[in-house]
Parts: sequence; structure tokens; C-alpha cells
Amino acid sequence: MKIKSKKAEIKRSLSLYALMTPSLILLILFSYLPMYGIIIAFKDYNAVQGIWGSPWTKNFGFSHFIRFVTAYNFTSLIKNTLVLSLYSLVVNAICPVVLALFVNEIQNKAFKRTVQTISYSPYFISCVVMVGMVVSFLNVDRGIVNKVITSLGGKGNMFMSDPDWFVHLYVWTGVWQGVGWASIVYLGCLSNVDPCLHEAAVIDGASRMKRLWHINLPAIIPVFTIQLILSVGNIMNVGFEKAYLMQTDANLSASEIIATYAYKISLLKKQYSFGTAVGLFNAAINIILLFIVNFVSKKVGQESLW
Amino acid sequence: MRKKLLSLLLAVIVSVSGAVFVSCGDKTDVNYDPDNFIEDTSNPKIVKDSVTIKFYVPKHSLHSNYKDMTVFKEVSRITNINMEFVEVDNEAYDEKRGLQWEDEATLPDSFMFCNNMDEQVMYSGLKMIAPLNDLIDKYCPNYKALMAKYPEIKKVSTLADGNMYSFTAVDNKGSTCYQYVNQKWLNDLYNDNVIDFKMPATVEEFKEMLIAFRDNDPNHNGIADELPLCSKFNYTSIFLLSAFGHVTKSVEITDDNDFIFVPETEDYKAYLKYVKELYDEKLMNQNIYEITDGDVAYYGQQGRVGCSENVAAFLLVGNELADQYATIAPLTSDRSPVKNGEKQRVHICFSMFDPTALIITEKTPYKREIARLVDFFYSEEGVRLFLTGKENVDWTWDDDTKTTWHTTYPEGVDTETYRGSITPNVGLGAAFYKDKNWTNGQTNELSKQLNKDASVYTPYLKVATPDLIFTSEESNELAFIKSALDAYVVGAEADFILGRKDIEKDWDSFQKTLKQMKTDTLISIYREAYKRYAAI
Repeated sequence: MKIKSKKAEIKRSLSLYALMTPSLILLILFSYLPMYGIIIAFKDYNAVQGIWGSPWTKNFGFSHFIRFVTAYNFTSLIKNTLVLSLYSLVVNAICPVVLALFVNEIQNKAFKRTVQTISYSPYFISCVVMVGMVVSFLNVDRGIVNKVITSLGGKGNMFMSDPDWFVHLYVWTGVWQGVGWASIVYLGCLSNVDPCLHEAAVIDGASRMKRLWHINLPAIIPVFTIQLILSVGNIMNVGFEKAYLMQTDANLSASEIIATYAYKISLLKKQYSFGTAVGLFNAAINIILLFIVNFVSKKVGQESLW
Repeated sequence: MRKKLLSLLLAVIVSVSGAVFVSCGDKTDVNYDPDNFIEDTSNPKIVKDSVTIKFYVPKHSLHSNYKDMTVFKEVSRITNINMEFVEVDNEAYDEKRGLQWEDEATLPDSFMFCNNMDEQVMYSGLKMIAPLNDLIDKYCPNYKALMAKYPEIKKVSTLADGNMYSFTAVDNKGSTCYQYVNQKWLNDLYNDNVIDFKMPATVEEFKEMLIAFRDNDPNHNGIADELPLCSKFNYTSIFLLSAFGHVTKSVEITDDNDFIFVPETEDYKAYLKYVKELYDEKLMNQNIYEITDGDVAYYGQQGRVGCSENVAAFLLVGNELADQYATIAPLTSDRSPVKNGEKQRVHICFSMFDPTALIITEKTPYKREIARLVDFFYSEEGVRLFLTGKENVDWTWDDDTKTTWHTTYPEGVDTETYRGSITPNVGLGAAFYKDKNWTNGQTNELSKQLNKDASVYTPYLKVATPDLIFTSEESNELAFIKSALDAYVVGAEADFILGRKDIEKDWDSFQKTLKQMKTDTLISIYREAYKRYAAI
């Protein structure tokens, strides 16, 4: 009886399943099938014997992992990756919310649209061009930033050669590029807020700040939490391209992260197995973090992914 | 129903992925006729009926399409072999090249240039590339003669199994990098009695010169806008380091054939102190880790640069100012090695024998054809064609004695771009045999100048390490150690020079870290490899 009803249910929503199929295929083809290649993290891979035929490594296949964890630069790689990702996670979570709340308060329609367009247009600049712009803006002799600093009587700074500056540059240029785009979803939430709430609050004598705090912010929180959890899932996947492009010899001590290291050692030095092991290690940490945050979020009583 | 849906899904997946695999594997069936090959090496023709052979090549932005280059058009005409090319942009070359081996069906017949040793060790072990010893013996008279002349060729290209897998690119002049200095400023300052030498010979004099550049307005424009040492900190740093007796910041061979890691020496410490002095007194550009070639050229054309690195003066400051500049010979310091009571000068030499010129894949039936084709590039005619182009079209003899020659490239075209339509020996410097007997005969103004610039360094050239061959395990270990170590050394050097670390105070911890990063293992790997090298 139960089976029959299930059958009926499937039949009823067949069109939905059909709609889902292409994305499912996409997922299987490009996310699950390639996972087969992860095996080489446990093997000494060579192209002729192939993924399956290459010999397993010692220590039950874990020698690449042991080598990585005991490597001298392991701690600094982990530290750099974590600092960069946590810092950008926090900043990139908060900034779009603040921007959305403020933009929402703008009364003048034309002005509001201009602000929005200007704030999200950097999103469409490619990463390479963006880093190129940053580098020329920060040029110590001719860059606009240093020109302004020196004209105000300050001392020019070699931003790109300074490991202390790297993290801030990385994160805040990221904000400049992504904040407008990320705030769009929050603006969408805010436009759904029932005007009655605001009217009632106004009648009760609530100030603008109070309304923002007690009405607009709670409307955003659920989406904010989900967004946060999702981005925690990517916490260790800090943008490889950008970090790689912003590296100079002089800031390597802060800019060498797991992703750039894995790229250098696997594709440039052709240690495919070791590089895969490093990448897999990265992904494992990611998943653990995702579970932790999801668990915490559930306990605190807000939203959760599952 | 669910089962049906699932099987449907599976069917879709299988057919889609099947299509992907099928499209990858369009293998053309080769009907190889062994009698088509001409064994006689004195016959310029290699095959009776034309055959097509596929080469994998790096493409630089200055290159025309390989098939349109004069060299390969000529070679095809002479040998009757139709050369086909898989061109890969040199910026992404390493990445793409590694993945090329995955699929045997799309593997080319031969890889031309950039065949690194690690790959040779790995794929020769897997019988993917062909040993060349017999081929060279039977079909490569020119190459064999060259091997007799330079025994190093055999040493650098023979792997542990006793076979050679790659032809060796030979550059018997020894290429290096040039440090240019503004000769006109120097002469003026000498005539004004500001300095008492015509060309600095020691690090102290070099510093004195830079100070004079900084303080005396040698470009006479009334503004102190001179940039005494303005350069990327690349070969300039090697030039400065060589004054302290070393030509690399990594592993180096010593006079008694042992190996050292240069940053672990007191010489390196002295070098750091010297550079820091120059840096702190603003004798060199402050943004040494950020400046680009474009920046240097920009300042150079304004006539503000005193000293810089480049491969030719006109690339540094443009044609108008180029004749003001001259190369500066390697310096000496109180840490220079002393021999027979005299301080020795050294200057970096890029390897003269590079066993990466060309490999032949095991699966190709055209091994003999390719071997004969390559041998052509080691012949006198091949060298001329490859480096310069066609006689009477791209170059002519100066007179009937046929000793000197000059190029006859069309007026008004950019030489480098034009050469890119002749040969791949542009941008990448790729060549089979750069014979100095040929290149030194060129009498064009510019090349005479360049030959003169280079001659300053010729007596002092030193190669950092011979081209050793490592086993798979050794090169895995090297890659692992070096990937962390190299990054650490450049970072630490930047810290010392920019003053974020103190050279005296932090030196011991620097040394300790180097040891922890297994420099000892590194050295012992080199020693082992050298033992094998010396035994050949």
C-alpha cells in the first residue's frame, strides 16, 4: 500500500525529476566521477600504469600525508591558510549585511540605484585584472595610494612586499570586489519585510535605529546564517588565483597557503600524488569545520543545513 | 518505476561519458613502410615519399606558427619530411606538458625542447621514450662528432640505465646575464675627479660609484633623480653575490668537487650585509621585490638609470641611450676565492650542455627519421639555418673568404619579431647547437656590440652545478625539500635586506631553520648523483 502511494507520488512529480536530472548528471560527471582520481593521494602515481595500476605507498598508503604533516613548512601553511580564510570569512559575512541595511534606508530611488550599481560592478572584473589594478595602485613610486600618502606628509609604503599587509590587502580588496554583489540577496530579504511592522513600530515611537535593529536585522538573520554555514564549507578554499597572483618573493611568509603550495608542488614540480594528498587534506579539514559549525548553529537554535 | 528511472539515468551517464572517451581516442592507424627511409646519411633526403611527423613544441609570443617558420619549411623541403606541430603556449607549458602523457593516443612522435630530466627519468623507466644510443651511432654523424669533441654531452645525458634519451642542446659560448653600467656617467665623474677609477673592480669601488651617481647629478638635469642601481633583484643579486665567490643561492659545486648550500656560508652573510648597506643608503631602488621590467625600461629611457641587469643595453634604455652603457666585469671583495695570490672573479654561466633538446616517444615508428632530422640541426648548414635563416635571403657572407657574415633582415622591422618568423630561437632561446664559430662571425653593429658586452664575462664563467641526473626517488625528495626551502630562502633574504630581521642577531636561527629544512639531505643527494656523473 505504502509502495503504491510512493509510486503515485513519483509519477505525479515526474516533471520535477526530469528538471532535476541535468544538474544531477552534471554533479555526477564533474564532482563524483573525478573523485576516483583521489586514489592517487595514496599511491605513487605515474601516467603509464594509470590511476589504478600505480603502486600503493608505504604506511598503508598514507606516506604522502605523513610527509606533508611532518614537513617543516606545514605549520606556517596551515596558519597562513587559516588566518586568511577566517579573517575573510568574518569580514565578508558582516560587510554585505551592513551595506544592505544602509542601502535599504536610502529614500531617493535614483541615488539608491546608483549606489547599488557602483557597489556591485567590481564583481565583474576578472581576478587577474583586479590584482593588476591593485599592484599598480600600490606601486611605491607611481601608485595613487602612495602618492596620496606622501602628499599628506606620510611615508610611502611597499605594500606588496610586506607580509603584514598581505592579509589585509587580500581581504579588503575582496570586500571591495564582492560586497555589493553579496548584499543583493540581503536587499531581497529586506524588501520582503512586511511594511505593517514598520508602521506599527513608527506609531509606537521607534526610532530609525531601533527599527533597523529590531525589524530589518531579524529579517536577514536566517539567510545570513545559511550563507555563513555555506561559506564555512569553503573556508580552506581561499581563492587560489588571487593569492598566487598577489605573491611576491618578499611576502611569501604570509602568502604561501595550502592551495598555492599544492599547485606548485603538483603541477609545477610534477609531484602529482603528493599534491593530491595535500589537496585532500585540505578538503578533509573543510568537512570537519562544516560539521562543527552546523552543529553549533543547530544547538544555538538558529538555522542549519541538515 | 524507480528502477526504471535509475537505469535510464545510468544509461544517460554511460552514453555521455562514453562519448567523452570515444572523442579522446581518435587514433589514426599508421601504415609504416620501413623501406621508405633512406639509410645513407650523406643523402640530405631522409624519406623517399613524404611522411608526416608530429612534434610537441613550446610557443612563445614572439614566435610565428612553427609550420610557417623558415627553418622548418626549409628542413621539410630538404628532408622530405612534413613536420606537424602541437604548439603549447610557454606560459602554461609545464602544466600542460605533464598532462600530455596521460593519453597515449594523442602522444606526439617527439617532444622538441624543454624535456626536463625528471620526466626523462620517469618515462624512460616506464619505456615510454626511446633510448637514443643506437640511433645516434647509426644515423647521427654530426652529433657523434660533437659528442667526441665534448665528452660532457654523454655525461649529462646518460641516465642510470646507461642510455641517452634526449639530444643535448649545446651552447659552446656559455650564455650568461649582463650587468650594465652607465659608462658615460662614469667617464664624466672620472674626468671631474670625483672617482679615481674608470670601472669599479671591487665591491667598495662599486659602492663608491653608486654614491657618486646619487650625489653628483651625472645626467646634468639639475635634479637628483638618478637611480644608481635600478633593477629587478634577480640577476643583479647574483651579480652582487658573485663578488663574494658564489653564483647561486642554492646548491653549488666547490673547486674540489664537493657541494655546499650557499646560504649556509659566511660569504652569503657578507653578501647580505653588503646589499643591506646599499639598500639602506638608498643606492638601489627601494621596491626591489615589486619593480617590473617595464618600470626599469621607463626610468631607463628617461636617462635616470646608473646600473641594471638585462640581456642587451637597448632593451634597458632604448636605442638612443644604449651606447652610453657598457657591461661591468664581475667584482671582487675580501671574501673572493684566492688562487696563486690573486683574487678570482666568478660570473654565473647558464649550462652549456642542456640534455633537454629533443626526445622520441617509444610508440612512434619514425625513430630513425627523427634521429636523422635532428642530426641535421647539428650540421654546419643546420646551425646556420636554425640560428639565422636562409643564406642570401636572411644573411650573406661579407666577402669571398666566407668567414664573417651579416644579416639582411628587412629595414624597419623589429628584429626579434622578424626572427620569430624564421626560428624558435627567439624568446625562449631554444636551439640545438649554438656554435660560437658561427655566432662570433656576425658583423652587424648590434651583434658586434653584444659580443663585446659578453666578452667581459667569458673568462670568469662558472656553472653552479654540473647537470646531474637524479633517480626518481632522489628527484621526488629534491622537489619536496626545495619547494619549501626555496620559498623560505627568498623570503628570509627579503626580511634581512628590508630590515625585518637583523643579520647579526637572527643569523643563527636562520641557519638552524635551514638545517631543519634538510639542507644536509639535499647536499648528500647531490654528492651521490655526482659520484655517478663522475663515473661515466
